[in-house]
This record gives sequence, C-alpha cells and structure tokens, in this order.
Amino acid sequence: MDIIWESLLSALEMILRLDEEVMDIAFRSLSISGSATIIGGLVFVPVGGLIYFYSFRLKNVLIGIINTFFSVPTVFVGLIIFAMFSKDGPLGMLGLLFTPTVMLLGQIMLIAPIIAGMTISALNTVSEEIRDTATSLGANRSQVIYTVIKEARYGVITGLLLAFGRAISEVGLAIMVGGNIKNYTRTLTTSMSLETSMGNLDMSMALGIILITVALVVNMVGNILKDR
Amino acid sequence: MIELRNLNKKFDDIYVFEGVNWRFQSGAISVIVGPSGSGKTTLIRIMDLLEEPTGGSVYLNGIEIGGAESEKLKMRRKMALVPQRPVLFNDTVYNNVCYPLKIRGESSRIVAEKALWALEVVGLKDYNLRKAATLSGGEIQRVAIARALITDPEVLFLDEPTTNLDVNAKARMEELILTVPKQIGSTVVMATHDIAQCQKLADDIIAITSNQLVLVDSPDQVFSIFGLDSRNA
Repeated sequence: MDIIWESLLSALEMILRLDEEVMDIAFRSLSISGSATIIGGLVFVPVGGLIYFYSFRLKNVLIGIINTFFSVPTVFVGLIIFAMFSKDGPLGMLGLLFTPTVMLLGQIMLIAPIIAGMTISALNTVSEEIRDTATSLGANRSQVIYTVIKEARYGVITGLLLAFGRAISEVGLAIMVGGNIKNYTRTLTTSMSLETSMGNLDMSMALGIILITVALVVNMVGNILKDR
Repeated sequence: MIELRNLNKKFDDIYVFEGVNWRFQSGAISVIVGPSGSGKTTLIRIMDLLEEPTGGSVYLNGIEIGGAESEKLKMRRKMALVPQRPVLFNDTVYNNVCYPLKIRGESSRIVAEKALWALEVVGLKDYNLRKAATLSGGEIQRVAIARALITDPEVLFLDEPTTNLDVNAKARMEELILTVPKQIGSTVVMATHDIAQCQKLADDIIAITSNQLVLVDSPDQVFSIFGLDSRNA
C-alpha cells in the first residue's frame, strides 16, 4: 500500500511543479489525439451523414462493417499503418514511420468507424417528423440535412467524446508506429507503459493522473456543449 | 389560389381520392371535414408537397407544382403547414420561430422583427429564450402557428390544429385562426373532424366522401353526408 501512496504523492508533486518532461508528454498526447478527433470529426461526421441520407446497394453491409470496426484492436491498425509506411511499404518513400504525423493518421483510422457509426446511430434517433418539418418550412436538401444533424448533435458529440477517449487511451498503435521516441513520439500511454516496466511508478502515476484529468475535462466540455 | 386537378391517391390499390378537382377560395378559410382515416391529412400533405399524388396535379396561382426540386422549393416557400402534432426543433422558442426566415436568408433585423410579431400574435412574446422541450402541448401548438405565420404564407395548412388542447387554449387558437391569416392575406385550408369548430371558422365547408371533395352548404348537411344524427354528434 505504501508504494502506491508514495507514488501518488510524488506524482502530485511532479504535476504541481509542472515537471517539464511530464508536461511535454501530456501536451503531445493531447495535441495528437485532439487533432485526430477534430480532423476525424470534420471528415467522418459528414461521411456518416452521407451514408445515412443516401440509399445505395449494400448500405446495411457497410453499416455492419463500420460497427464491427468499433472494436478493432489498436495493434491491428498499427500493423496496417506500419506495413504501409515501412521502408518497403507503398507509402514508405514518405519517410513518416516513427513520426507524430503517422501516429495522427493511425489514430484517425482507428476512430473513423466510431465517428461515422455513432453519427449514423444518432441520425437514426431523429424522428421522420423533423425532416418533414424542415422540408415543410421551406428548407432545401442541404438545409434539411444540416437540421437533422443538428437535432442529432447529442449523439454526434457523444461519438466524438468516445473517439477522443479511444484515441488518447490507446497504446499499441502508438508504440508500433510512433516508436515511443523520447521528446518526439512519446505519449502518455506509451510513457506509462515504459516507466512502469522500469519501476518508475511515481512518473507513471503522474502521467496516469493527467490522462484521467484530461479525459474528465474533455467529457465535461463535451457535456456542456451538449446542453447548449 | 390553390387548385387540385384530377388528383388521385391510392394506397395498396385502394383509392383515397379519385379524380378530385377543386379550387380553394383565395383569402378564405376552407375547412375539410371527414371522419378519421378519410384522407384529410393525406390531402394536406399532398398540397404541401410532402407527399406525391398517384396522379393529377396541384396548382398554385395557376402554376403547376412539380418538376425540378428547385421549383417545388420555390412553391413550398409560399406555403406553411401546422401538422396535427407539431414537432419543434430541440432549440429555443425564438430559434424555432425564426427558422423559416433564417433558411430563406433574411437579414437578422427582419428576422428579429417578424419573430417578435409572430410570438406576440400567439401570446408567447415572453417565451423567447425558453427551450422548446419545456413547453406544454398547447404552447407547442402556438409556437408552431407562430413559425408558420412568420413567412406571411400565401396558403396556410392547418391539420386538426386544436387536437389535444384544453377548452381555453382551443378558444384562443380558434380566435387566432379567424383573425391573423386574414390580416396577412393568407388562404387557410384546415382539416378537422370537429363540426362545431367547422361552423365557427369556415367560410367554405368541404366534406371528403366517396373519394371526392364535396362543398357543403351547412354543418347539418355534414351529418347527413356521413350518415350521422346531428343530435347525437
């Protein structure tokens, strides 16, 4: 019990004195996962909207595949990205392996099904009457789509929060394609994994507290947005 | 003026209307009566372009409504519908009422002026910032009316507008229907199964019977058309 208590106190001390290494790792994690969520949202909320609003063959199959990929193992995405960006891979000439950029791409790929799938689910909860009401009041097709997406905003925001949570908490992908390089690609989770294996529980605990705090703050902001 | 020419509508091979021709009197309150399931809502939805007829056409001011989506939109923007159970957007009362003007790209000054007028007309001028989710059934109905009136529609469709309202709210709604559309020059086409209300509001009473529309001289005739005893109605 003592070891946990001592690690916790030491971790709080590191956070309060804004330890440079801890803050650097926290900022990197936040910027990579935050960017992945924002870019993913800008691209895959509309993709979810398009899938929902347009009828096409195999639509239900596609939705089934998207839902299946909600729980795709992060190491599998890591493997795909690694294969694509490794020296002999089709995108190897870009030289992006073991950079924050490829970690960002990997996280976008990881959370894309969550964002698109949750958008489709959220749109499914909007009643047909909302669409009729907007149409009847004189909205054109894109205004109707915008109105329906706006009505589904609670579900869409929940999807974005889930996506951010998945992105910032994953470790397998970040290690495989980021390489856990100090001051470059080391994130909260990869660093926690490393520090724990090295016996530095206080550092690991400090990073864990920051991870939980970030998740808590992001969820609170999300809930405030949902209530507006 | 809104007009139906040779209008047909069928569901699963059963005709609701067949070869209906009708010209609604401009600037008047035309009340369509008929028992539940007679097709009143379907007829209103067809005229408001929310549903396609099986055959025939709807004309507005002598122009056939149909064809390209942009043409339909232009026509639809001259009309407004308050459905039987109006749905408000998950937003404030003000934003709900403003919606039709905002999507038409009106300036914020005009939007604000018209929204205040519409909310005052329905007696909800202090409800601006209230969330739609907190409103009672009667208040929702009044916000839906304000939202419909804000564009000064040429044709206002009201589908059973006083269903689920208490006596006071119903009286207030009827007063509103009698006065405001006339002030802004709207033609009202209203569906109801309430014969007393029909007598109170209608310039023209139109009954749906045998897949056709029939002009009725008096409310008593409505009873005989539907085979009812007026003393028991």
